[in-house]
Amino acid sequence: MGYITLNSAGNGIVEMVFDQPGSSVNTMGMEYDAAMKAAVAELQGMVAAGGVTGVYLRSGKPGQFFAGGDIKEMLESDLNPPPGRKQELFEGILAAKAPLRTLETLGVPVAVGINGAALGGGFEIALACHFRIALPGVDVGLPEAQIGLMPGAGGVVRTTRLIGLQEAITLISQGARIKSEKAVEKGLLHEIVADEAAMRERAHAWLLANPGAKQPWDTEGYRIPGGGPEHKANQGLMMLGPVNVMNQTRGLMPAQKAIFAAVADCARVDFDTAQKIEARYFLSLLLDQTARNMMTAFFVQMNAITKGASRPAGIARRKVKTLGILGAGQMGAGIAYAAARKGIVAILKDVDLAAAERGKDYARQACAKNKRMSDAEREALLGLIRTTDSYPDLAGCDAVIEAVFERRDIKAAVTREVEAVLGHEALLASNTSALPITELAEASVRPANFIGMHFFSPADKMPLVEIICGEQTGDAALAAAFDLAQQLGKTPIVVNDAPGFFTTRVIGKTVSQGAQMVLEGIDPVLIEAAARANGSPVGPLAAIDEVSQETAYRNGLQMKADVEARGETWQEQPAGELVRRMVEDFGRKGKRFGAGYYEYPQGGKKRIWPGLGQHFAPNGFRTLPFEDLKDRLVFAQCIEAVRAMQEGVITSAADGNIGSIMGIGFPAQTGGVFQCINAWGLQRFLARARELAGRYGADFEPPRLLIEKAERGEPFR
Amino acid sequence: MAHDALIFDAIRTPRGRGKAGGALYEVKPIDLLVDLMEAMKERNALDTSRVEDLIIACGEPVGEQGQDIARTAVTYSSWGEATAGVQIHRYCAGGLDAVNMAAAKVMAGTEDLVAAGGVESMSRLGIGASGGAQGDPWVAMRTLFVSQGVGADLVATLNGITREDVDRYALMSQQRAAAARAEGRFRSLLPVRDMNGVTILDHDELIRPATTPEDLARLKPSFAQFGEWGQDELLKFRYPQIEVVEHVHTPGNSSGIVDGAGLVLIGNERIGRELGLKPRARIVATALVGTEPTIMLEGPAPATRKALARAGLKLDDIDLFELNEAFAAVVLRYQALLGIPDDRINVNGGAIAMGHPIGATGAMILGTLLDELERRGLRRGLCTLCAGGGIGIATIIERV
Repeated sequence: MGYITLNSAGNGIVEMVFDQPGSSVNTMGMEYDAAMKAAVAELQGMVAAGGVTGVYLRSGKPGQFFAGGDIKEMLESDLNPPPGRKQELFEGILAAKAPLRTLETLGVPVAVGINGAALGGGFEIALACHFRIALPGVDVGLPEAQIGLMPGAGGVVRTTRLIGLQEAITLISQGARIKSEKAVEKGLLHEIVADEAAMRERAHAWLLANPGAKQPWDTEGYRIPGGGPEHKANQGLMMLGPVNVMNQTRGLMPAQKAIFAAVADCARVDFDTAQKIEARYFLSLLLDQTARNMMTAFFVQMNAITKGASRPAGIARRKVKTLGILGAGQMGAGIAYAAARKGIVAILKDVDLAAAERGKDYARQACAKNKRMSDAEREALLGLIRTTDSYPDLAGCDAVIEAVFERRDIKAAVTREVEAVLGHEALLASNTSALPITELAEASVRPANFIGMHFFSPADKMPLVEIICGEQTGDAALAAAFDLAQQLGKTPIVVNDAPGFFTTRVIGKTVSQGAQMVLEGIDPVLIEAAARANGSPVGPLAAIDEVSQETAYRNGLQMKADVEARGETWQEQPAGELVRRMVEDFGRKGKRFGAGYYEYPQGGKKRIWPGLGQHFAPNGFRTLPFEDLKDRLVFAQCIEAVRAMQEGVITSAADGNIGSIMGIGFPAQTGGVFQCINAWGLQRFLARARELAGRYGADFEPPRLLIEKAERGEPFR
Repeated sequence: MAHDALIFDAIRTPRGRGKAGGALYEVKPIDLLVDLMEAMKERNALDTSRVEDLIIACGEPVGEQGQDIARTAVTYSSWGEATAGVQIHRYCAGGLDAVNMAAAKVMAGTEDLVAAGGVESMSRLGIGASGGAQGDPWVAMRTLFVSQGVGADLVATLNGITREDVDRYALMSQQRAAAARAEGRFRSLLPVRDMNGVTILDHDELIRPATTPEDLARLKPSFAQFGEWGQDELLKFRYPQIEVVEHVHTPGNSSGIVDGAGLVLIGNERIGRELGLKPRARIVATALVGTEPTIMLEGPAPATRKALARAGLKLDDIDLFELNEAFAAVVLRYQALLGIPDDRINVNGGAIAMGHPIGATGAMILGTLLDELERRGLRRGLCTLCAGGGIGIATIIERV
């Protein structure tokens, strides 16, 4: 059986069936190219011979239409091919999309029945059909931008011509998946049909009734909806759109730039010329390092994580029906709401009912804000969150997440109290951002069931959970925590126990670099700008303002006490010294206190507190190369991540990459802390690290693992 | 052998308010230009068959200013057919660049007599009417383009120029222009007349002699909106040290939008003698520079230095400076960089009071400068403008 078969289906209708052999989904790669070219040539022959009334295109895979481009094939292709090879690649892209143009200009109507997700290349095939119908609730769209790419098989050209510039740019550059119903509203699909049989029937009827069907852009007098780039109505888009692309991506996302420009450029010329323009932009992304980074992190590694690469094998999946949550503060409240949204009963416990109810208020407010929720849905969701002040109410929980105050004695007390009522199989997870799990587990009578689950704030929105295995944590507990994180809709990464785990210790390094720069007398505006220029969502100074200097100061004192309690000597860090002065000398304790590294004028935008300059650069700011500021903020994190890997805290580069992007805002276009090193090139990264170490200290001293990897030319995978 | 490029005449129209209802709104751009051509012919008893080229700058060369408006003007006027005619574009520097190009031809000896200038009807073809590659999304993303007004606010922010500073300058421009108009100092100004000889406008329409500091202080910033649309953020790609852009420029301290034309007659000594043209000044040196395009307005100082170096002169050798008042901060920055006192620059006001008809301005203010040098009996003047994309232009003239 080939990839594509052509079957006569009566009344002159030919059914074109996609069913890639040996694959659970249909993908667009070399195999597709060959099959599609042959099938369309055959169709052409059939039409020329006469008797064909129409073509019905469908998938042979139940519930699966088409998954899109073959990412592996793209990742394996040469990033810097010689000029001759580039020419071949360009022609290859044109050749790959040519059959779709032939299909829509065969002279007979073509309909497509979308029986499952039609994304990327799959949706581009659908767009080349005259009549597009789908089952209810299937995902369609062009998600290429999310992995640094753009549609390359006519998707930009056809979408622009179908729904106009503004809509096309939004849809394609966000890479949004939309439901088939929404696609009908937008004019991307024609109809929703209840089931596959009805879909086939509807398609056949339409084909017979529309013998002269043409694409709108092949129809006399066609104009792009909303007009072209020169149209008055698009003036604002053309002027402000590029500015927004640059600002929102910090100029670091080539796909978003290419998509905006390609839509505009393709709208200025005829269809066939537009196909060439689209291919040129597409090729530029195929040969782009950022696209490779994003394909690696957000496709290959993300899929591996989702499939459980870091989850112990051979343990049955567990589903939590009832989740206990200890502590109804900000984290506990967020976790309870996240759980209820997934249909899990959340028992929210605090010292008294009033405190627990205040935690539940978070869910109440979030529900009230959600306009799409019906009253019944709201009530049902809130009904899943039950508040209590009594441990026995947690007796039936499958799992308990402890989210009480970050203090060992309190955490130990609640561990003992909750274990007294819990079943022997129940998972007990501590939500902590830094306290060592092995130590916390000392309070547990079942340390094999005890694990760390580090949620990020706000817990209902942040997509990552860092799972921390203590020394005695069992595989069953790890599997259970992994399953629970996924059940909550989160992406889990798995790390081993050590101070700061993985994410906290990595982000700590960029924060301390920021502080060190302030102490060095560098303009704080430039420090924050350097972070922004790297693609970080917040600068190191703003990050501390959010957490609050007071919290940072308190945590520092706790760490100092811990170290001294172990009989070791505490070494004061620059970041610690800066927060101490902020809190004790200047009374600037953080954003929620109205004053931190920034000023927060009423009704105005925050601005850097001029006091930083006055106190730390009294004779004027010190000037350093901007590239150094940028690299210090990034390298400090990458190098710390390598150290964590060297120490065995993290074992998977995939977990490190995804964790750094989703948990602590490491610039997404780099593909994460480890991929960032790969993209620099290990030797080049090493040389730059040594240079920075010479100028700015030990944080940049390359760890042994980095040197070894560089010597072996072995990227972090 | 190099020849001196001599200025025989420099004339201009008045500047009309550049919108519907402005006095020159009813006048086609070609008529603004041809009125000057006829006047130049008449007042110099000029044998126009000897004018080899007409170089005309225009900022929006499209529609009725499109193609080669200079050639059309030649054929439409009484000049006959011998003058070739070309339209050029160098943004706001165009009018002066036309003069410089004419001078270059004369100096090189490839042509003897050339007319040059510019025309702009902003009321009929507003800024942006001719489009431009800068508006292309791919180009815009790679060049980090921001509105020129945002660039002016950036000049102010980077150099600590305050709203009070720019308003103070603007008030001075109004007062100086009003005084100059009242005293009849704009001798190069010729009224615009209709086909029957009836005067349409005989004075610069935009000057507001009654302007008070309070009036200026009341005006809202013109470019804050562009900043909010993302341009303030965009400029940080090049100026990361900027936290907040101070939007100090308003309609009161930025150049006004007006209609008008300017025309200069340039030739060598021999043709002057032959046609009985009296030289008023000599073009000593010219200069063009390109500077950082996002801020866009930093060309005048380096262009000035370059022209001085070419002429072998020092700043002190220049008696009067004429810097186009694109925005008040541009002038204040220029003065600060070069140490030029108020009483030697824009002494009869400028575009803040009278307006800036893009392609025409350079030719117009060259005439203003020459008039004033003559009136004061001074020797040398320097005329300079900032222009789109970071271009700077300068011309040094010397009375003969």
